[in-house]
Amino acid sequence: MDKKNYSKNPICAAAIAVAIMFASCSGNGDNQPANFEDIPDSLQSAPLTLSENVVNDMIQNISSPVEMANQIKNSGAGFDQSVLNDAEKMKDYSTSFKRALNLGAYSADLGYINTFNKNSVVVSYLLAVKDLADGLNVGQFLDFNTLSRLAKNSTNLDSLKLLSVSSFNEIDRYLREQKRSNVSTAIVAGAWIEGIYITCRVIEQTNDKELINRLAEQKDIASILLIILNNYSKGDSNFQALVSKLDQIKSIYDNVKITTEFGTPETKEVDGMLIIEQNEITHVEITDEQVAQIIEKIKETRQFIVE
Amino acid sequence: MKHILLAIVALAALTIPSNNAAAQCGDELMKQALGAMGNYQYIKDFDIKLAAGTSSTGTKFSVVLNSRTHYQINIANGSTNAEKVVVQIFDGDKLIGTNFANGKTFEAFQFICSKTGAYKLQVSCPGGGEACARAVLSLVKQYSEAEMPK
Repeated sequence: MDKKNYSKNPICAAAIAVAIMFASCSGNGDNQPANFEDIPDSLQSAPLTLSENVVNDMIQNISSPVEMANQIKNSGAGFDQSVLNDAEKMKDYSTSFKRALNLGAYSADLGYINTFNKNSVVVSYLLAVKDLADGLNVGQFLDFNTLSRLAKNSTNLDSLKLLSVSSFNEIDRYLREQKRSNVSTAIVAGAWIEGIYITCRVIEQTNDKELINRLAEQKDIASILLIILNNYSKGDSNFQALVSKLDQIKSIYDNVKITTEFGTPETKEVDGMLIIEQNEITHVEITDEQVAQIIEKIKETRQFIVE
Repeated sequence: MKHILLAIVALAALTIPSNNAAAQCGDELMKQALGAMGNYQYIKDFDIKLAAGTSSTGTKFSVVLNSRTHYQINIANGSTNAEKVVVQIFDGDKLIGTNFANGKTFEAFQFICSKTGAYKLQVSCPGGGEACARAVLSLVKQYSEAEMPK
């Protein structure tokens, strides 16, 4: 493997990319607010700084909570129901903003529950998800009866996982096609925060090094999410409040050092399967104090979402 | 078990409203790609539609991939495609790999990611013909630092 310079991770590349996106969007007639007739409250946005197309591209850059849930399971940590947002609280979420955020949060909870095959609690979370999705006029993508039937049969858990995740992907795709990316963004933000929150709670209990590294590696993702959320904060106090919380998280991440030892990718064919290896090595430098600060701010943000 | 899973996904796909004129193509391809995915854990899918004459640019998708993670991408090509679609993975401007290798276009490939970040999947038809396809991204394995292939 050809090793090159040991250099700092170029987070500025993301900023440059965003700057280019800003430049390419200025004066674009595409950056007008979408028609949110069916979402009558706070998710009616002011004019967007970034176009729907740019947001659509960036929003896909937020990773799936499925992977984080798997990592938690791999760490050896057991299932802890107390870390979940209480499914009964769905009744308290009456605005579109809260519904979208908590639809995301419950989707991450569902990923965690499904990863640990806890079908005894899954139905109440499916109900919560279905209720919030209906409130956002995207309930048609969740076949509650099929999901519920799968949840009650332990031999169908793989199908439950697949259908749960693919349903959320369909919701996301539909919202973006309907130019309701503000709703999609709130869902994604809720899911990301909840996924990180569960990870933080496990780290508090286990101090697991692998999980701490995964938490640190969310640095760039936090920056991307902040840029997307900022797009909707103009004239919207809900998004402004969330941006303020994310901004504090990003400030802590700014001091976390992630460096990459570059290498040359290799492609090989093994038993008929093509395998591509990236051959780079990531080094994470995060202090105990930074971990504690991130955990504290994630908890605050999660409280803001679920309260 | 796999048959039950495929039947459920197909049923769900049929019940999901779609304003896409090529939905039939997409749903059938999704079923094929999921079938080829095997027992790995589904993460997301990409609905690929290439207009004629877009051979050089194709279409692009963004995706976050995590370090020390082994992924698989299965691609189901439309039956009327003149050729199989080519998928390339980019980290910024750097080409990491492609499913076109050893003189053939693979319908599945695996990627061992060693750096968390936003990657681009660029999908194209070298001949520039119209094409549709569905690609499914799945999770094969997450490695600890010690387990990571050298």
